[in-house]
Amino acid sequence: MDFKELKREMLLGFFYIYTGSIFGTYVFCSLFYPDLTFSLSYFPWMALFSLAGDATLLVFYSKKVLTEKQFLFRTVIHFILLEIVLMTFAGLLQLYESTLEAVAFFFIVLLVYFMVKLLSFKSGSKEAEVINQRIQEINKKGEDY
Amino acid sequence: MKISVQEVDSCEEEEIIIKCHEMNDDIMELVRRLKMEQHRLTAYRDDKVYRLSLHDVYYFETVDSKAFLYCEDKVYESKLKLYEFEDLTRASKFFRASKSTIINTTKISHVKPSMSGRFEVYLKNGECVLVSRQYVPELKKQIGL
Repeated sequence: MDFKELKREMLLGFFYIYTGSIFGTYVFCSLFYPDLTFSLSYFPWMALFSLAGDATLLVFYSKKVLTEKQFLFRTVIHFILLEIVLMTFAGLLQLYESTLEAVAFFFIVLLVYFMVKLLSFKSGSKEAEVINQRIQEINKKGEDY
Repeated sequence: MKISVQEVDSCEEEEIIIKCHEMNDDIMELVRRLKMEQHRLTAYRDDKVYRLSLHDVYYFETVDSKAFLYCEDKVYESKLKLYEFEDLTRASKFFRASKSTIINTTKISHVKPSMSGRFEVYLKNGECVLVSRQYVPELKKQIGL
């Protein structure tokens, strides 16, 4: 990914992570701390949290186009880095206290990560379907168009 | 349709005139193909020089400061820079697929989304070229979406 594309991905990534983290916190606290209340300072802290997580996207920076294998490898590294960053921040903010809560937090992050990838793939599939339909129409008219 | 050919003096510029009742898709396609034939590319392979039609080029790629023209089953080296090839093909059915690749949309068989968030463009000769998400709007524009 070159710098221009990375900048775009990081900006989008920040918003995905921020909304995903807010939703993840809601699910996590609904399960373990249903009576918990939050102060306004939670939201800027979560933004900082998201920014730290977003910075891990730098692992995808490359001057050359990455092959699928290289991209997959960097995705695994990215996920590991993201978990480290998020769990560190969550630990500092005392979003979890016991080992069970830490494990639950780990799996919530994993679930959000997987959902973001899945949604992106599904969106790509729909777009590919539309493109392929158009290409088929064009190919039916003749060899070229 | 009547086809007539008129030989002119060498001092006169060669010209093709199409007389039609209306400018329909078939006429536009004929004009496009004639324009493409005008642009013959100089290419090199096995110490020989070739003149290729743009129509025969599947995609153009730069790798380590060298440029290559990929045809159905042969690869040729080109002295053109990426931006020069892009300028040459601006009015035709080529689109910028990445930092180093320009693809002929008339040679696309189908597209598939990849797990990396990019698109795999399968060409009619079976080759697959990766296209970043940021260049997909350009592909869609070229195929009339």
